[in-house]
Amino acid sequence: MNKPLIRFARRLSSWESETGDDDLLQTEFWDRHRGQPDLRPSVYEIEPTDVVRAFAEHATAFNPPASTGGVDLGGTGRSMEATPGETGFSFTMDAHRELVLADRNDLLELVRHVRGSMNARTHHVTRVQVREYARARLLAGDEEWERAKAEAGTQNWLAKIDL
Amino acid sequence: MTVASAQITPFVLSDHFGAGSSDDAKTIREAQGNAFLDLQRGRALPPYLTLLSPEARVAVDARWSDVSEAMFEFLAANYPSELLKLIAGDVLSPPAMTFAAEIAGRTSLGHAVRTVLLPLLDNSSPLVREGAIYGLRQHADATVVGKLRILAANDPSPAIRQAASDTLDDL
Repeated sequence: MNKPLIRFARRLSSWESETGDDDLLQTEFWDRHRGQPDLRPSVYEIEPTDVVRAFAEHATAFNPPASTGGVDLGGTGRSMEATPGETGFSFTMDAHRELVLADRNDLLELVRHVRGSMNARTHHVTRVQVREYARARLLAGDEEWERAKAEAGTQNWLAKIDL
Repeated sequence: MTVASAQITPFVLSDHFGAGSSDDAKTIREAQGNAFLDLQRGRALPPYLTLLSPEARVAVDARWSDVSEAMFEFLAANYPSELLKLIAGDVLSPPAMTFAAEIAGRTSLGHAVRTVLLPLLDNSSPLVREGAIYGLRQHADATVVGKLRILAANDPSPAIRQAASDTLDDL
Protein backbone atom coordinates (compact mmCIF):
# COMPACT_ATOMS: atom_id res chain seq x y z
CA MET A 1 0.00 0.00 0.00
CA ASN A 2 1.28 3.44 -0.91
CA LYS A 3 2.22 5.88 1.81
CA PRO A 4 0.11 9.03 2.22
CA LEU A 5 1.31 12.17 0.42
CA ILE A 6 0.94 14.78 3.15
CA ARG A 7 0.64 18.48 2.43
CA PHE A 8 0.53 20.73 5.48
CA ALA A 9 -2.14 23.43 5.38
CA ARG A 10 -1.07 27.05 5.56
CA ARG A 11 -4.41 27.98 7.05
CA LEU A 12 -6.46 25.78 9.34
CA SER A 13 -9.64 27.17 7.78
CA SER A 14 -8.65 26.45 4.16
CA TRP A 15 -10.08 22.96 4.00
CA GLU A 16 -13.24 23.72 5.99
CA SER A 17 -16.48 23.46 4.05
CA GLU A 18 -17.13 27.22 4.36
CA THR A 19 -14.10 27.92 2.18
CA GLY A 20 -14.82 27.57 -1.54
CA ASP A 21 -12.64 25.57 -3.90
CA ASP A 22 -11.16 28.65 -5.59
CA ASP A 23 -10.30 30.29 -2.28
CA LEU A 24 -8.74 27.05 -1.05
CA LEU A 25 -6.68 26.80 -4.21
CA GLN A 26 -5.46 30.38 -3.90
CA THR A 27 -4.55 29.92 -0.25
CA GLU A 28 -2.90 26.50 -0.32
CA PHE A 29 -1.68 26.02 -3.88
CA TRP A 30 -0.52 29.46 -4.98
CA ASP A 31 2.94 30.57 -6.00
CA ARG A 32 3.84 33.16 -3.40
CA HIS A 33 6.05 35.12 -5.77
CA ARG A 34 4.06 35.16 -8.99
CA GLY A 35 0.50 35.10 -7.69
CA GLN A 36 -0.28 32.13 -9.95
CA PRO A 37 -1.27 28.46 -9.35
CA ASP A 38 1.53 26.24 -8.08
CA LEU A 39 1.42 23.28 -10.46
CA ARG A 40 4.13 21.38 -8.57
CA PRO A 41 2.85 21.41 -4.99
CA SER A 42 5.17 19.91 -2.37
CA VAL A 43 4.13 16.93 -0.28
CA TYR A 44 5.85 14.53 2.11
CA GLU A 45 5.54 10.80 1.37
CA ILE A 46 5.33 9.48 4.93
CA GLU A 47 3.51 7.06 7.19
CA PRO A 48 0.62 8.52 9.23
CA THR A 49 2.63 7.84 12.38
CA ASP A 50 5.32 10.26 11.16
CA VAL A 51 3.05 13.25 10.58
CA VAL A 52 3.99 15.02 13.82
CA ARG A 53 7.69 14.47 13.15
CA ALA A 54 7.38 15.76 9.60
CA PHE A 55 5.43 18.84 10.61
CA ALA A 56 7.80 19.62 13.47
CA GLU A 57 10.72 19.58 11.03
CA HIS A 58 8.74 21.49 8.41
CA ALA A 59 7.72 24.05 11.05
CA THR A 60 11.25 25.04 11.99
CA ALA A 61 10.84 27.60 9.20
CA PHE A 62 7.87 29.25 10.94
CA ASN A 63 7.70 31.34 14.07
CA PRO A 64 5.74 30.33 16.01
CA PRO A 65 4.31 27.15 14.47
CA ALA A 66 0.52 27.07 14.48
CA SER A 67 -1.58 23.95 14.67
CA THR A 68 -2.20 22.53 11.24
CA GLY A 69 -3.89 19.87 9.21
CA GLY A 70 -1.80 17.48 7.18
CA VAL A 71 -3.91 16.51 4.19
CA ASP A 72 -3.21 13.34 2.21
CA LEU A 73 -3.18 14.20 -1.51
CA GLY A 74 -2.40 10.60 -2.51
CA GLY A 75 -4.52 8.23 -4.57
CA THR A 76 -5.60 10.84 -7.08
CA GLY A 77 -3.72 9.44 -10.06
CA ARG A 78 -1.29 12.33 -10.39
CA SER A 79 2.35 11.64 -11.07
CA MET A 80 5.01 12.89 -8.69
CA GLU A 81 8.73 13.45 -8.62
CA ALA A 82 11.17 13.09 -5.76
CA THR A 83 12.85 16.44 -5.19
CA PRO A 84 15.10 17.47 -2.31
CA GLY A 85 13.31 19.19 0.55
CA GLU A 86 14.64 22.29 2.26
CA THR A 87 14.01 21.58 5.93
CA GLY A 88 17.61 20.66 6.79
CA PHE A 89 16.39 17.39 8.33
CA SER A 90 17.31 14.21 6.46
CA PHE A 91 13.93 12.56 7.09
CA THR A 92 11.78 15.26 5.50
CA MET A 93 14.36 16.10 2.84
CA ASP A 94 14.28 12.46 1.71
CA ALA A 95 10.49 12.26 1.91
CA HIS A 96 9.90 15.43 -0.11
CA ARG A 97 7.97 15.03 -3.38
CA GLU A 98 6.30 17.31 -5.90
CA LEU A 99 3.00 16.45 -7.54
CA VAL A 100 3.01 17.22 -11.25
CA LEU A 101 -0.16 18.95 -12.43
CA ALA A 102 -1.13 19.98 -15.93
CA ASP A 103 -2.86 23.29 -15.36
CA ARG A 104 -5.18 25.20 -13.05
CA ASN A 105 -8.16 22.98 -13.93
CA ASP A 106 -6.15 19.88 -13.07
CA LEU A 107 -5.30 21.47 -9.72
CA LEU A 108 -8.94 22.34 -9.12
CA GLU A 109 -9.98 18.74 -9.92
CA LEU A 110 -7.38 17.48 -7.45
CA VAL A 111 -8.75 19.75 -4.75
CA ARG A 112 -12.31 18.60 -5.39
CA HIS A 113 -11.26 14.94 -5.40
CA VAL A 114 -9.51 15.33 -2.05
CA ARG A 115 -12.40 17.26 -0.51
CA GLY A 116 -14.65 14.31 -1.25
CA SER A 117 -12.99 12.27 1.49
CA MET A 118 -11.53 14.83 3.86
CA ASN A 119 -12.11 12.96 7.12
CA ALA A 120 -10.05 9.98 5.98
CA ARG A 121 -7.32 12.21 4.60
CA THR A 122 -6.80 14.72 7.39
CA HIS A 123 -4.16 14.34 10.09
CA HIS A 124 -4.35 17.09 12.71
CA VAL A 125 -1.18 18.29 14.39
CA THR A 126 -1.31 20.71 17.31
CA ARG A 127 1.30 23.26 18.21
CA VAL A 128 1.67 21.48 21.57
CA GLN A 129 2.58 18.23 19.81
CA VAL A 130 5.14 20.08 17.70
CA ARG A 131 6.83 21.68 20.70
CA GLU A 132 6.80 18.45 22.69
CA TYR A 133 8.36 16.57 19.79
CA ALA A 134 11.06 19.21 19.32
CA ARG A 135 11.80 19.26 23.05
CA ALA A 136 12.09 15.46 23.14
CA ARG A 137 14.54 15.45 20.24
CA LEU A 138 16.65 18.16 21.88
CA LEU A 139 16.67 16.27 25.18
CA ALA A 140 17.77 13.16 23.28
CA GLY A 141 20.71 15.09 21.85
CA ASP A 142 19.51 14.81 18.24
CA GLU A 143 22.22 16.57 16.21
CA GLU A 144 19.84 17.83 13.53
CA TRP A 145 17.61 19.46 16.12
CA GLU A 146 20.53 20.88 18.03
CA ARG A 147 21.82 22.44 14.81
CA ALA A 148 18.37 23.83 13.98
CA LYS A 149 18.13 25.40 17.43
CA ALA A 150 21.62 26.87 17.18
CA GLU A 151 20.77 28.43 13.81
CA ALA A 152 17.41 29.82 14.95
CA GLY A 153 17.21 33.46 15.99
CA THR A 154 16.75 34.31 19.64
CA GLN A 155 13.08 35.11 19.07
CA ASN A 156 12.41 31.82 17.30
CA TRP A 157 10.18 29.28 19.06
CA LEU A 158 12.97 26.70 19.02
CA ALA A 159 15.30 29.01 20.91
CA LYS A 160 12.64 29.46 23.59
CA ILE A 161 12.17 25.77 24.36
CA ASP A 162 13.15 25.07 27.96
CA LEU A 163 15.09 21.86 28.46
CA MET B 1 -5.35 37.42 -6.53
CA THR B 2 -8.64 37.32 -8.37
CA VAL B 3 -8.03 40.81 -9.70
CA ALA B 4 -7.22 40.56 -13.36
CA SER B 5 -4.46 42.89 -14.40
CA ALA B 6 -4.40 44.10 -17.99
CA GLN B 7 -1.07 45.71 -17.53
CA ILE B 8 1.42 46.00 -20.30
CA THR B 9 4.82 46.94 -18.98
CA PRO B 10 7.22 47.86 -21.79
CA PHE B 11 10.22 47.97 -19.52
CA VAL B 12 11.11 46.66 -16.11
CA LEU B 13 12.90 48.56 -13.40
CA SER B 14 16.07 46.94 -12.23
CA ASP B 15 16.72 45.98 -8.63
CA HIS B 16 18.91 49.06 -8.48
CA PHE B 17 15.96 51.32 -9.23
CA GLY B 18 15.98 54.13 -6.74
CA ALA B 19 19.52 53.45 -5.60
CA GLY B 20 21.91 56.33 -5.11
CA SER B 21 21.46 59.77 -3.65
CA SER B 22 23.24 61.95 -6.22
CA ASP B 23 21.33 64.59 -8.16
CA ASP B 24 21.66 62.50 -11.31
CA ALA B 25 20.25 59.42 -9.59
CA LYS B 26 17.31 61.46 -8.31
CA THR B 27 16.66 62.89 -11.76
CA ILE B 28 16.72 59.42 -13.35
CA ARG B 29 14.49 58.06 -10.62
CA GLU B 30 11.97 60.84 -11.12
CA ALA B 31 11.98 60.38 -14.87
CA GLN B 32 11.46 56.63 -14.58
CA GLY B 33 8.71 57.10 -12.04
CA ASN B 34 6.94 59.67 -14.17
CA ALA B 35 7.19 57.43 -17.23
CA PHE B 36 5.53 54.63 -15.27
CA LEU B 37 2.83 56.93 -13.97
CA ASP B 38 2.15 58.17 -17.51
CA LEU B 39 1.71 54.59 -18.65
CA GLN B 40 -0.59 53.86 -15.73
CA ARG B 41 -2.74 56.88 -16.58
CA GLY B 42 -3.27 55.39 -20.03
CA ARG B 43 -4.77 52.11 -18.83
CA ALA B 44 -7.34 50.82 -16.39
CA LEU B 45 -5.55 50.07 -13.15
CA PRO B 46 -6.55 47.15 -10.98
CA PRO B 47 -8.23 48.48 -7.82
CA TYR B 48 -5.37 47.56 -5.50
CA LEU B 49 -2.96 49.80 -7.40
CA THR B 50 -5.23 52.82 -7.22
CA LEU B 51 -5.03 52.73 -3.42
CA LEU B 52 -1.27 53.10 -3.31
CA SER B 53 0.73 56.31 -3.28
CA PRO B 54 2.39 57.17 -6.62
CA GLU B 55 5.79 56.10 -5.32
CA ALA B 56 4.58 52.75 -3.98
CA ARG B 57 2.45 52.21 -7.09
CA VAL B 58 5.45 52.61 -9.35
CA ALA B 59 7.56 50.29 -7.23
CA VAL B 60 4.85 47.60 -7.08
CA ASP B 61 3.70 47.87 -10.68
CA ALA B 62 7.25 47.51 -11.93
CA ARG B 63 7.71 44.24 -10.11
CA TRP B 64 4.37 42.39 -10.05
CA SER B 65 1.51 41.99 -12.49
CA ASP B 66 -0.87 40.76 -9.80
CA VAL B 67 -1.06 40.69 -6.03
CA SER B 68 1.13 38.11 -4.32
CA GLU B 69 2.64 37.38 -0.92
CA ALA B 70 5.98 38.61 -2.18
CA MET B 71 4.36 41.94 -3.02
CA PHE B 72 2.89 42.22 0.48
CA GLU B 73 6.30 41.46 1.98
CA PHE B 74 7.86 44.15 -0.19
CA LEU B 75 5.26 46.67 0.95
CA ALA B 76 5.67 45.65 4.60
CA ALA B 77 9.42 46.21 4.36
CA ASN B 78 9.39 49.40 2.29
CA TYR B 79 5.94 51.00 2.50
CA PRO B 80 4.25 49.55 5.61
CA SER B 81 1.54 52.21 5.74
CA GLU B 82 0.67 51.48 2.12
CA LEU B 83 0.13 47.79 2.95
CA LEU B 84 -2.29 48.81 5.69
CA LYS B 85 -4.09 51.10 3.22
CA LEU B 86 -4.39 48.18 0.84
CA ILE B 87 -5.94 46.01 3.55
CA ALA B 88 -8.28 48.71 4.77
CA GLY B 89 -9.36 49.41 1.19
CA ASP B 90 -11.18 46.07 1.11
CA VAL B 91 -10.18 45.27 -2.47
CA LEU B 92 -8.36 42.03 -1.76
CA SER B 93 -9.89 38.58 -2.10
CA PRO B 94 -9.97 36.45 1.09
CA PRO B 95 -6.91 34.38 0.05
CA ALA B 96 -4.94 37.57 -0.58
CA MET B 97 -6.27 39.26 2.54
CA THR B 98 -5.33 36.38 4.84
CA PHE B 99 -1.66 36.68 3.89
CA ALA B 100 -1.66 40.48 3.67
CA ALA B 101 -3.02 40.63 7.23
CA GLU B 102 -0.44 38.21 8.59
CA ILE B 103 2.41 40.02 6.83
CA ALA B 104 1.17 43.41 8.08
CA GLY B 105 1.70 42.03 11.56
CA ARG B 106 5.45 41.92 10.91
CA THR B 107 5.61 45.70 10.74
CA SER B 108 6.28 47.81 13.79
CA LEU B 109 3.16 49.96 13.36
CA GLY B 110 1.39 48.48 16.36
CA HIS B 111 -1.47 50.95 16.76
CA ALA B 112 -2.14 51.16 13.02
CA VAL B 113 -1.97 47.38 12.67
CA ARG B 114 -4.55 46.96 15.43
CA THR B 115 -6.79 49.65 13.91
CA VAL B 116 -6.82 47.89 10.53
CA LEU B 117 -6.80 44.24 11.60
CA LEU B 118 -9.19 44.23 14.55
CA PRO B 119 -12.28 44.73 12.34
CA LEU B 120 -11.15 41.79 10.22
CA LEU B 121 -11.72 39.47 13.18
CA ASP B 122 -15.43 39.90 12.39
CA ASN B 123 -15.03 39.27 8.65
CA SER B 124 -17.41 36.71 7.20
CA SER B 125 -14.52 34.71 5.69
CA PRO B 126 -12.70 32.40 8.12
CA LEU B 127 -9.59 32.79 5.97
CA VAL B 128 -9.58 36.52 6.67
CA ARG B 129 -10.26 36.05 10.37
CA GLU B 130 -7.40 33.57 10.62
CA GLY B 131 -4.96 35.89 8.85
CA ALA B 132 -5.96 38.75 11.14
CA ILE B 133 -5.37 36.56 14.20
CA TYR B 134 -1.83 35.79 13.04
CA GLY B 135 -1.23 39.42 12.13
CA LEU B 136 -2.28 40.63 15.56
CA ARG B 137 -0.24 38.17 17.59
CA GLN B 138 2.77 40.50 17.79
CA HIS B 139 0.58 43.51 18.59
CA ALA B 140 -1.82 42.16 21.16
CA ASP B 141 -3.15 44.63 23.70
CA ALA B 142 -6.07 44.14 26.09
CA THR B 143 -8.62 44.73 23.33
CA VAL B 144 -7.02 42.14 21.06
CA VAL B 145 -6.76 39.61 23.88
CA GLY B 146 -10.41 40.11 24.76
CA LYS B 147 -11.46 39.61 21.17
CA LEU B 148 -9.28 36.50 20.81
CA ARG B 149 -10.91 35.00 23.89
CA ILE B 150 -14.33 35.52 22.33
CA LEU B 151 -13.21 33.88 19.10
CA ALA B 152 -11.56 30.98 20.93
CA ALA B 153 -14.80 30.27 22.75
CA ASN B 154 -17.50 31.13 20.25
CA ASP B 155 -16.35 31.30 16.64
CA PRO B 156 -18.42 28.96 14.43
CA SER B 157 -15.26 27.71 12.72
CA PRO B 158 -13.23 25.07 14.62
CA ALA B 159 -10.15 26.35 12.77
CA ILE B 160 -10.62 29.86 14.08
CA ARG B 161 -11.23 28.65 17.62
CA GLN B 162 -7.97 26.69 17.40
CA ALA B 163 -6.00 29.59 15.86
CA ALA B 164 -7.27 32.01 18.50
CA SER B 165 -6.54 29.56 21.30
CA ASP B 166 -3.01 28.89 19.97
CA THR B 167 -2.33 32.60 19.77
CA LEU B 168 -3.54 33.25 23.30
CA ASP B 169 -1.28 30.46 24.55
CA ASP B 170 1.70 32.10 22.85
CA LEU B 171 1.13 35.56 24.32
